[in-house]
Amino acid sequence: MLTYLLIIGAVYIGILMFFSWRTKKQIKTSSDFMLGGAKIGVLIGLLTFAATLFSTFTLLGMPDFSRLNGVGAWIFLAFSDAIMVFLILWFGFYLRKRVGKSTYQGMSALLQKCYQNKTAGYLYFTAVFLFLIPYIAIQIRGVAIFLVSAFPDFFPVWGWSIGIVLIMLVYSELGGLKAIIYADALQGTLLLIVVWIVAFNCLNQVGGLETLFEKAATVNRDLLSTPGPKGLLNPQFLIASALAILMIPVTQPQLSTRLVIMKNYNALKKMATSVGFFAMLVILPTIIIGMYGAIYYTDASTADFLGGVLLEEQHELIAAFIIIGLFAAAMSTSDSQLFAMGNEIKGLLGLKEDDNLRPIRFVILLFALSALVFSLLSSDELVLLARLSFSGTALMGPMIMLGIFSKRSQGMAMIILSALALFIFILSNLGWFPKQIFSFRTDLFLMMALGFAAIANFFILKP
Amino acid sequence: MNYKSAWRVIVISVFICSIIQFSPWVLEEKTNAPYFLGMPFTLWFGILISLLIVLLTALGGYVFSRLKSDELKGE
Repeated sequence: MLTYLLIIGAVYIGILMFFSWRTKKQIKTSSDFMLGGAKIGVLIGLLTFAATLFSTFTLLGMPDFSRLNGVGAWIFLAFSDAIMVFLILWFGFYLRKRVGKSTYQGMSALLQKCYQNKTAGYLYFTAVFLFLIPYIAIQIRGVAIFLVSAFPDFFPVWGWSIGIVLIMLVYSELGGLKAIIYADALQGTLLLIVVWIVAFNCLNQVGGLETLFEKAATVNRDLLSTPGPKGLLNPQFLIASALAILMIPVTQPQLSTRLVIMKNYNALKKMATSVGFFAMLVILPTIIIGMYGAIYYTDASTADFLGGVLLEEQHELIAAFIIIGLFAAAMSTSDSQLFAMGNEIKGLLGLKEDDNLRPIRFVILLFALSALVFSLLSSDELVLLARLSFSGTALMGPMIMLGIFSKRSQGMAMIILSALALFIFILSNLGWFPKQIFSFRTDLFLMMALGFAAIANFFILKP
Repeated sequence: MNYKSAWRVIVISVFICSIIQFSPWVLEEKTNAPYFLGMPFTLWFGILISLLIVLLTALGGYVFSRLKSDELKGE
C-alpha cells in the first residue's frame, strides 16, 4: 500500500501546488488573497461549500456514529443539512444585500457595522474562536489517529499532527482563498467517490441493502429506529442538533464567506440546492458503512472498526485513496476555518485593502498552533465534539440574523443576552451549570430563548 | 398565485416537513416497519422528507429570485 500511497500522495500534493502557483499569479491585493476575487460559479461553489462542510467528522465520525446509534444518524445530519440549505436561500440573499458593493471583511466587522457597536464583533469573534479551535483540532486528530492505525511503526499521533498542520499552513500561506477553494473542489470529488466505493464494498460483502438491515436487526433491533441503542437520538437531541446545524452558514465564518463570494444570487441558489443533494449522497453511504460495522464490528473500538472497514478490507489502491481522501478532507476544512479566522481578524483590526498581510498571517499561525495543542488533548468522539462546536457557534445565530435583517441598529439587548447564553453554555459543558433548564436540554433552551428574544427585539425596535 | 404567496407556501411547507420529521409519529420509539426497498421506516422516511425539502429549496430559489428580481438587477 505504501507505494500506492506515495504515488497518489505525490500527485495530490503536486495538484495542490499547481493550484497554488496558478492562483498566486492572480493575487494583486489583500482582497484577492482573502476573498479569492469573489466570483465563484455554481460548480466550484458547490464543491468548496461541500468540502468545507463535510470533513473528517463525516468520513470517520458518521460511520462510527451510525454504528453505535443506528439509522437515526440520518435525521441528525442529513435532514438538518436539508433545512440548512433552505435557509441559505433566504439568509444568503440578505447577507449579500447587507455587504453590498463593499469588500467583505468578515462577520465580526459586519456585526460591528450592523449594531454600530464594537462589542457585537468581539463577542462573535470570541464565540467562534472558542468553538472553532476544537473543531479544527478534531480534523487534525481524526486523521492523525487513522494514520497511526494505518502505519503503526512510522510516527506517533503528535508527529502526524504536526505534519498535517505544517502542510495546512504552507498551503493557505501560498495561494490564498482561491487556492483553498480549488483544493476543496478536488477534495469534495474525492470524498464522494471514496465513500461510495467503501459503501459498495460493504453491500457486496453483506449481500445487498435488504440483507444489511436484516442482519443489523438481528444484532440489535434498536439500530433501525430512534432513539437508537444508546437512547441518544431522542427528539430533544435531534431538534437541538438540527438548530445548531441550521445555523452553520450563519455563524461559521468559513461558510458565510462562501455565500458572499458567489458570483451572483443565481449561482448561490443553485449552489444551495446542489449542496442539499450532495449532502444526501455523502451521508447515505456513511449510514451503510455504519450498519455494516454494527454487524461485523459490534464490540470493536472506533480505531479497530475504522482501520478494518476503511483499510484492511479494501484493495491497497482504494485504501491509499481513502488515506489521501481523509487527509484532504481534514486539510480543506481546517484550512478554510483558519483562513476565515484570519479574515475576521482583518475586519476586527480594520486593516485596509492593500495593507500588509503580516498580522493576518501571524494570527493564522497562532490559530493553527492552538488547534495543534488542542488536537493532542482532545478525545476521539469526533461527531459529538463537532456537535459541541456547532452548538457553541449557533448561539450567535439570532444576534447575527437580527443584525443583518434590520435596517437600523438594534441596541445592546441581543448582544448582552447572547454573551450570557454563551457563558451559561460554557459553564454547562464544564459541568458547573445544570445540563437541563425546565426539562429542556440547556443548549436547546438557550437557542430557543435567544430566537424568541431576537424576534421580540425586532418587533419592539422595528427594523 | 403571485410570487409572494408562492414563497410563503414554500416556507410553510418546509416548516410542516420539519414538524412531521420531529413528530412523535415519525420518531416513535423502536418502530422499524413499514420497510421500503429493504430500509427501515426511520431511514426511508427521513430520506424522503429530506429530498422533499431539497426540492422545495430548488423551487424556493426560483420563486425567491423572482420575488426579489428588482433588488437583484444590480448583480
